[in-house]
Amino acid sequence: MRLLRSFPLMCFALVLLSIVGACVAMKSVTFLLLVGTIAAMSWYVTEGPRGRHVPRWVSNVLIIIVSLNVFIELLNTGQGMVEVISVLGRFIVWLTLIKLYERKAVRDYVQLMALSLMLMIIGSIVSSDLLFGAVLFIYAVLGLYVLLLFQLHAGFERLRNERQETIPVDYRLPPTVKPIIGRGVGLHFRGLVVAIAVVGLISSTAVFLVIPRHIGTGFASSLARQLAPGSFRTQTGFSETVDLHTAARVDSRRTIMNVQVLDRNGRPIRMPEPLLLRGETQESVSRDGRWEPAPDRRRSEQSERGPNRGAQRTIDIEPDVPTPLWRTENRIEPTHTLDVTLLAPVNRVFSMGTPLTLTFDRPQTLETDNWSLTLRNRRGAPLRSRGYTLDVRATPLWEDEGEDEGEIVGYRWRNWHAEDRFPDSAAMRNLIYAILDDAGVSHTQPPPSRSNESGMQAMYNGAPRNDPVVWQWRRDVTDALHRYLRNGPFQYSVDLSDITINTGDDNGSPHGGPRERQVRQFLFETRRGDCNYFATALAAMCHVMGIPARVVTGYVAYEYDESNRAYIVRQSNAHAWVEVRANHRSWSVYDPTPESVVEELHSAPESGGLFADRLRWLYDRFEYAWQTEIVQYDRHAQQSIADSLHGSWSEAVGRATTWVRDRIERYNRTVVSAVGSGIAGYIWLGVAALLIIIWIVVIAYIWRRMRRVRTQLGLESMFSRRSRQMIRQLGFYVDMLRVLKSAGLTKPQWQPPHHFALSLQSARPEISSIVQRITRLFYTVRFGERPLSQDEQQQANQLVRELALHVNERRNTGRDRHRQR
Amino acid sequence: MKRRYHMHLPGVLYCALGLAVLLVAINTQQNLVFWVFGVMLSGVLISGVVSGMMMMGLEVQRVDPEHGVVDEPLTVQYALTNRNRFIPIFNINIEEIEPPMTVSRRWPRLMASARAWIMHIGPGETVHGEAVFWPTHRGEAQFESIRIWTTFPFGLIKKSLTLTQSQHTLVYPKLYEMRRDVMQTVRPAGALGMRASRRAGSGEDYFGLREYRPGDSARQIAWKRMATYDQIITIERTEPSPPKVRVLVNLADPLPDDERERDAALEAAERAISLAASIVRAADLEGFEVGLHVLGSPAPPIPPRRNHWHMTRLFGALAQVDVASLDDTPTDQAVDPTPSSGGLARTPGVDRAGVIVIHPTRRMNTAIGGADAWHFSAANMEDLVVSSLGFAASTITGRPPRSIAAPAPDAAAVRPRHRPAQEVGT
Repeated sequence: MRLLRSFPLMCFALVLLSIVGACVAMKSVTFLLLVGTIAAMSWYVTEGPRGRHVPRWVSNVLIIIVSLNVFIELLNTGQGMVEVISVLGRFIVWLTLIKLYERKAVRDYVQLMALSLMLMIIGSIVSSDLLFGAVLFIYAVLGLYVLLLFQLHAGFERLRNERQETIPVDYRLPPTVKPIIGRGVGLHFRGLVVAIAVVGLISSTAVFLVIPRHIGTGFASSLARQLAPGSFRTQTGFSETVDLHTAARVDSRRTIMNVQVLDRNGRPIRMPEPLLLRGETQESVSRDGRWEPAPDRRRSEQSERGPNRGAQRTIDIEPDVPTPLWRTENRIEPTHTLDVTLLAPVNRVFSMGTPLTLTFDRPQTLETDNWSLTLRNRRGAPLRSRGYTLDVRATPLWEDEGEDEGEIVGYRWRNWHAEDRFPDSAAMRNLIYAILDDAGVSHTQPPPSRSNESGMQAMYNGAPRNDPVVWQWRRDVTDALHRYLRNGPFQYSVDLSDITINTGDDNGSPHGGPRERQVRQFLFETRRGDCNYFATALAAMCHVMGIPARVVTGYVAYEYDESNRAYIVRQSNAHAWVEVRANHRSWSVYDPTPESVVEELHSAPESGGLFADRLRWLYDRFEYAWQTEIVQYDRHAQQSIADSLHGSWSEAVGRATTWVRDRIERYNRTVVSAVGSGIAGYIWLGVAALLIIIWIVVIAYIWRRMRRVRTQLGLESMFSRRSRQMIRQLGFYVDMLRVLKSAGLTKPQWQPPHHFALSLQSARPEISSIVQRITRLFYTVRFGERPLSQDEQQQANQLVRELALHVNERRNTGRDRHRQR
Repeated sequence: MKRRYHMHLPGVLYCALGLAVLLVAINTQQNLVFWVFGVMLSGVLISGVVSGMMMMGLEVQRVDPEHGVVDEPLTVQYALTNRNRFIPIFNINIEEIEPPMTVSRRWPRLMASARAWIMHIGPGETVHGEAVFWPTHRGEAQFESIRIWTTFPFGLIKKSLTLTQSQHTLVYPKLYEMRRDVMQTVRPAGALGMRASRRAGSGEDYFGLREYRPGDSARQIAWKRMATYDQIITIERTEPSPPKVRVLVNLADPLPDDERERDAALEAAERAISLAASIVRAADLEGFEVGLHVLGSPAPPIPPRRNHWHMTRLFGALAQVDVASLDDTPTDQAVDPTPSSGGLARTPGVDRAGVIVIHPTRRMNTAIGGADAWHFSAANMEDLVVSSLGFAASTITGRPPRSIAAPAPDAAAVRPRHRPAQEVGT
């Protein structure tokens, strides 16, 4: 009964867990607090000392109101399928809450469990977080327990209702209704739950692994696209774009990766400068002021110019095979090797300088961009790998088109359309001129020595390759602007909540249109911001001066683990800096964020080893495994598992075959040598084979006889040493029963042996005495706690033989009489 | 023995939901949804395997129900044995399958089918479950087949096991609690009352002397006689003979031809049988030896006795009276329902006993049973009984019981003709 009484509480816990799971999936903490509180209160209200319930009509009215609200919400929701599913999820949560406050019969419990299942299905559609996965796993186990318990609860309730319907109300002595249970019901129930959970987990995992992926995804591809794994900003701190509207510093110390830098001799080294790991570059400004990679359409135009001109291409990387990343005609020698161990899901390869050769431990398909020198996973999904090795050139390279030097990467500046650059304006230009005047740098680029173009034309048509004057001017300008930002009246701050960026139209705004408003506000008004503000400001000023520049997002690694001789890259190390085209063959790296601030923010904490950090580390490991092994499991992973299984299976079969073949050959040699000794060898072989056969037959006979004794004498539940001895000795009684059965005298199972023997006194007096003597010996062993001596055993067997003789005589006599008739 | 899997509504709904989840999983390629689908698919497989394994080792035996009584619960027990060595059994339902009409025409009319439910049977254990039936008519109930089914563990698949175990049990007529003064009134007095018998027993009266036997009480030793016989002599007492009463149910009147009147007559006969059973029970409780004779029935009269088996015999006889076919059945020649014989089946050598005659209607043939007989009419049963057994008094009579001291012409009871009128009861 205690098991049955626990059902309402367990069911309530299940429903509560599903509500939590849905809220976790929808990432709505406020909603979780609200509905969680209401749901928790329902237990006290309905099951507490008062035990009150909401009447049915009230709950029906509430359901109508909630339905109307959902209908209105759906009308106001856009086309986003995720929003629609979230609205449906909230609707089901409200329905569940209403049901929690109702009086609960069996039907209501069914509805509650169905609602909770729907909540978890919706959650699994909209979320793939580890936290939701953990909730889902707990829900599955608890749901199994509750479902099994519900079967018992429903069975008992049905029985009680049937009894109430069968027996009139005014009958004074109704039979009590109570569940019929055997011994150890709780233990058996929990054991069964565990067994079913294990089998269910194994079989569901098998289904999960083998069910085909990427089949039939087209019939509602818009939904699929919307529900595909999204941005990893919240998980890694890294962002592909820089949006000052929403940019916020990430303070999480979650470890993203460990990076070991090796020199050309393979020795791990620590770089003199902070390690900058490039992820993405943003060189254009969108109309809403967001810095982002150059539009793909322009790159596609470039790709039409020739096989080597494409900005983006897809490369397949075989596991453990170093793969060149760029189509180079001249080989570029790497300067360092990065050995990266991934500890969190990332969707791209982070690299120092220019990545040249990449080695993965698993097959990958990457999209490379030779403009930004970045590599990202196909469709933006996380890399399915535990790490990679990169041969790199320390600086980001640029090689202009040229037949004599060969092309690695690059596009000519003239192809970069003017609308992508930061807009020029008098205010910005005045500020820059003032800075340059202070630094003693010319305002205008000197004309190229080998060109008749004006300075501005030359800028937009690409820098001359070997014109040191122009390069030097660019470096001087950039250095001056860099110094101004680092040492000027600017303050690094991560708390930007008080900064309100005017997002109005261009008319009447002191800072121009939305594209430049944020940077100008930073330069002229607030003068406060994080690394994104500093980087975008430098890149914007370079653009105004006609110098190609781009904002680079990635990680800056300060924290160096001396024991592992590797950099530790954390989520809080997400950083932005600038690359300026100020050299002939490479981009120059400038980090306008004040160095002291960067070092303070990104280096290892002094306290270190906090318990929370350790927990976080543990959670990160699970999160990483969850994302890479489960959430991102796809047909490639299926193929990989199938290949590995096939390989191991083939290997195992091969080993087994070899072992069997070796044994056969060895025995063959033995047999041949035995046969070689003549007829005696054959005899010995025959004797050995005969002995083996006899041994097998004897063992089988003994085993079968002991099994029969155990079964017939009801000793199945006895497994002690004493019982085994008893079973060995009591064979004579079973033989006696068999003889009697052949004579038509079957002992009823309910009859004790002694009574059976006495009952034969009247029916078959000639054998009764023998049976009684055998029965006495049986009692001696079975209940007398005394094993039979050897003489007694012989006597028992002799008595059985005598009994068989009597029975056979009588049978033969009967046959003779029958024949005579 | 027949084993079957049934796919019922929850299972169909579950499969539909599983298909929907599969479609969502394929469309979205969300691995968590794939896993949910895997869990759901595993649920179906596990459900079939677990329920099948549980039912494989189950043995069921119906424990013979002794008898039932109309409007009283009839508990039928089932012994269930789990032969599995490791697997427990949960949530087992047991139902009686109504036999086909050729086997028993009466089963559906006698009582509705009931269900027994066993929550748990451990490995190697035997438990007893019970189904509570509620008989509504007397007669012979035939049990033919048992269906055992379970939907454990998930309620998706119903696994059933059907086996045939033919048994029958009798449903006794409805019993009422008789008013106490009724039985005191009809108690035989004088020669028909309590007296000593001619057999040795445990009574008070002197019966004779005999030799001492081991186990005899020292109080029974006849000390004075010992001196004469030079051995230990004990005194034997007579066996007490309780008062006897014969209950006669007068069903000898032919049933009318008119359908409506025939139904009314059948109902009256049923009430008479029920009243007879109630009087038999009350007489037994009062310590009477009770005999029974159903006038018009081919069954021989049952002489007065008093023990458990005799009561079973009496109630069984009343349960098996087929009122509708009494017209076609030749009556026992030993019964002479004429006034001269008193309608009694006299058994040679049997002591005389008081006679109670029960008539279905108010029209009482007082010639039956002789001059000493008490006559009751089933039409006035409300005046004779307190309540139906197990129910509150008001459920039967609707009014407080009253005395039978001054019977009206249509009174429930008529006194013996030779006795002076006297008030009985309060």
